[in-house]
Amino acid sequence: MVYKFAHLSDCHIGAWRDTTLKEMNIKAFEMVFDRCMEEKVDFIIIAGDFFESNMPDLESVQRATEKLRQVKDAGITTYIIYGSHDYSATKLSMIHILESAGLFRKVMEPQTLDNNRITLTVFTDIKTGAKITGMSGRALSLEKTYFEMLDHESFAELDGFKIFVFHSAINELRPKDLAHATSMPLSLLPPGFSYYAGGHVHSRSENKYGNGLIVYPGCIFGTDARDLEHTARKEKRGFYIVEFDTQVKKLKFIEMSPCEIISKTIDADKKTASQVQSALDQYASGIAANGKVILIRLQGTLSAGKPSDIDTNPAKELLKKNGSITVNISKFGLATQEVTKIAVMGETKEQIEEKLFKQRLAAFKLDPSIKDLKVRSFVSKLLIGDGGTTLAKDLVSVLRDDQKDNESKVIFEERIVGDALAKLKVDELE
Amino acid sequence: MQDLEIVGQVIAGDIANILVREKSGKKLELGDLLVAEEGDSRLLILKVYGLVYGSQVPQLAREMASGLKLEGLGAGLDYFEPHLRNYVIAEVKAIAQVINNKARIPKSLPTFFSAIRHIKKEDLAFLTKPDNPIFFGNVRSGSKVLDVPVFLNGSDVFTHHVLIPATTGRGKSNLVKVLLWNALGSGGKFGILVLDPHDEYYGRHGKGLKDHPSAKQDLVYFSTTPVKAANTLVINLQSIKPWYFDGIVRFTDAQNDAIDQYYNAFNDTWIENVIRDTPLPNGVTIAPRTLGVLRRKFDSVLGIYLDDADQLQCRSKIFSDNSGETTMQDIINSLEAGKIVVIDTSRLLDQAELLIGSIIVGDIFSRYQKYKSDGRLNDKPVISIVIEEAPRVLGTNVLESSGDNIYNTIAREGRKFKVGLTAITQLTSVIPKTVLTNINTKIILGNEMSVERRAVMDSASQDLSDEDRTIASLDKGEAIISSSFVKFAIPIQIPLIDEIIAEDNEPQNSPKRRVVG
Repeated sequence: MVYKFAHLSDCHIGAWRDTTLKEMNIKAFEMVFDRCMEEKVDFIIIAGDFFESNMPDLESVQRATEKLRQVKDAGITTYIIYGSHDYSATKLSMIHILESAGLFRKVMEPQTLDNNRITLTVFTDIKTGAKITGMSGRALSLEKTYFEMLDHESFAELDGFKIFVFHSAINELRPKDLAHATSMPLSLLPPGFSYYAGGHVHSRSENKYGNGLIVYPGCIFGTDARDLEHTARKEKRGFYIVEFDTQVKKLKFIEMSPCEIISKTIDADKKTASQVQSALDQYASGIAANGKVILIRLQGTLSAGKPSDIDTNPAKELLKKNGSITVNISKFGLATQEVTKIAVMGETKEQIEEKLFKQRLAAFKLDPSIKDLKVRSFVSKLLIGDGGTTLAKDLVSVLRDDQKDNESKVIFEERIVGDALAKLKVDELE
Repeated sequence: MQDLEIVGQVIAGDIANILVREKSGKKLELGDLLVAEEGDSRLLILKVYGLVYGSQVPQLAREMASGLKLEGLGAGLDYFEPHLRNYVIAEVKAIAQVINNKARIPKSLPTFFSAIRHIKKEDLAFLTKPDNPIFFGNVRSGSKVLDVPVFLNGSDVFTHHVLIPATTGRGKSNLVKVLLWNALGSGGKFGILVLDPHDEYYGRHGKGLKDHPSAKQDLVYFSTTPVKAANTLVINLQSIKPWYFDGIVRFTDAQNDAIDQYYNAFNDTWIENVIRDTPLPNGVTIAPRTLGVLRRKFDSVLGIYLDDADQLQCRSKIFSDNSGETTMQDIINSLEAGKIVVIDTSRLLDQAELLIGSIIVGDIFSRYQKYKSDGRLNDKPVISIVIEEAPRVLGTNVLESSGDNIYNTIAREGRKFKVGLTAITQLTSVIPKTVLTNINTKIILGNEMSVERRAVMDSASQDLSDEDRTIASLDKGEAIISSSFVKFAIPIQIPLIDEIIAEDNEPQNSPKRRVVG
């Protein structure tokens, strides 16, 4: 008997401030679930980052819940793990709430063994007999520690079709553009599974591993301009439908796209600000923008003038007038010879932040007047090296959080302070 | 100096060969470090190079006395005051002069008839712990180990190259393990690449670097058969540039021309297109025979071929067209972060191992060259490349037949860019003098081959011309450090790695982790 399941990941529902792109993202998810019902899959696997945050906006949650309810009513079970975005160590997450409501089944259930080792409960899908287990993702790939603790031997006796769901980048399988992203070695994946349903990496790949397959479907739409640029450069977005009996019989990628995306990089190297302005305006006037998402990146070092001399509004207005559903013109990659060389460069806001933190922390020295060894050890561990960068990023992430609807100012402040103190691990010192 | 301390007295000699009469019963040893006090916080450190008998009794009389005893005719026969008439003369040489706790090269003889004693810990107080310290072992006087640790500035030592010449069984692996163990605890000051053809450093089957308390953060291990949490050694074909083959694989002019054409046309995918016999654009043609030979060479070196379904396959699984895209970057980033990267090359063919080394070393070197031109080199850790059986890439015949390679370039120019070699060899004599003289630190272990000892001594930073017998007699774990960063060739005893591991790994109760799903 051949069964089939859908494997998708990184829906990031609730992502995007731009309302059009937010809508496109949810639409992509709805298209995927509609297609799953059309294809009459036996079950669905979501390999993490279903939501953009642990507690996304309620409108997005409502749309997602509606679709989850539909697939459940159609007799399709959805299996899920947390991703690096939708889990919170300190507070409740929407995944947990929806699981409580029976809309999906979380497949990471750790059990402690001796010597700091763990194993994972293996769930059997009633309809197909497939064995499913998995490891949730954590921010900054902290799940790597769990993988190190994972007892591979405990899965050795499993028979039948076995699926391992995970939300981590793998060193050996990372695409070049993720070379600086945190990831873990392939050897941490427990061997012997028929199918490894991967998430976290936003590009698609299929790889052999032993007698099984490691598959990343990539994100269904994307969460930042870089994802959309990749889509514009023909990176296919969608999900997999996998047919199986005791092994994978057929692997089919279903391409889904809620809209067409066009991406353009305008080279600003050795050009003046006015030359770049002309190039931008000229490009905007020359493309068919109707119904498309337009992304324009200005990149390079200006020979004269400053990035702020370039006015992107005329191009934006023109493109919108010509029917573009949304326009994003990025000047992040612009530098100028007229001002002091910028300290760090990076492709994304996160990369720039990380480099800045690393640079600042490199100069950090522990105050020699602190004599208490416990305090010295605690502060060193927390602030020096990668630990410091992680903490800084975590704190920024906490402090960036907006006040929720219906959340009073006092509660909001308490929540932020509480989260920040949890990140600082002050209780450990006490 | 107290009478009890005295072990001998200077009685004759010249600056290169001072003769010291041994006090009876003191049993001086080859390699012993002795001291002649000169007063006013001045002393001379002497080293024993030779030991000979001396006697006040003429040779004929000694022969007769011996004959009488041996033939049973002189049972009660003995010398009158034998300790005064027969003795040992030690041939010593001044190796350092210490004035006010500062060492300098000696330029004078010890006072005639001055008393000599064994060296003491306090005499070596000038051996202080430098910046960026790397521990090599304890000072050794003959076979006696002193409680004086020898640290050198790792940044200086690694950038100016290290040679470890030794024959099998003299503690070469132990020495490298000790160096790497100590570098691991340096807090990211040294990025060290270890190409490990015997898979002996990580500790896959026993104790090794993986047992270091900092291993989790600072040790990265790549293998074609990785243990749990180690990385798979898989290199994407697109990481391989034509020049990485320089000095490793020989190509004819026609083959080099074909490689250039394919690289210009297809850039990173040039190897795949050679294998697939993709036609070149613009009507450029390559003789089918040339391409055929190239494919065979890639097959034998990289193990790459096309299967019946026209899919690229790699016999060794090291090279791939769809994975390992970031392996090179991962390795180089780890080195640049001051980590130790051990690459298990035990299952690779010789040329594949050298090629992988060439790829990594070439990339890190060019990255450091760029840092220098950008003015950022000072912020970067020192890089050292540990290469076993160094003559495979630095041997005279290799350099003559296959031309220059990246290792030779680093030996010549690496120190300007904070990149150095740690070359391990049994055959120093086949490495050209031009390369050997560029290697400033030599950690000399025992060697029974006089040709090899001669090659090491001739290129040492100190005058070791009298050390021939000492080097020949070095036991397992005993070594001499000759370096331009030390004032004299320091005899050391290298500790056993197993003892260091046991010492640094006192059992601790690791806290229980809570795992949530």
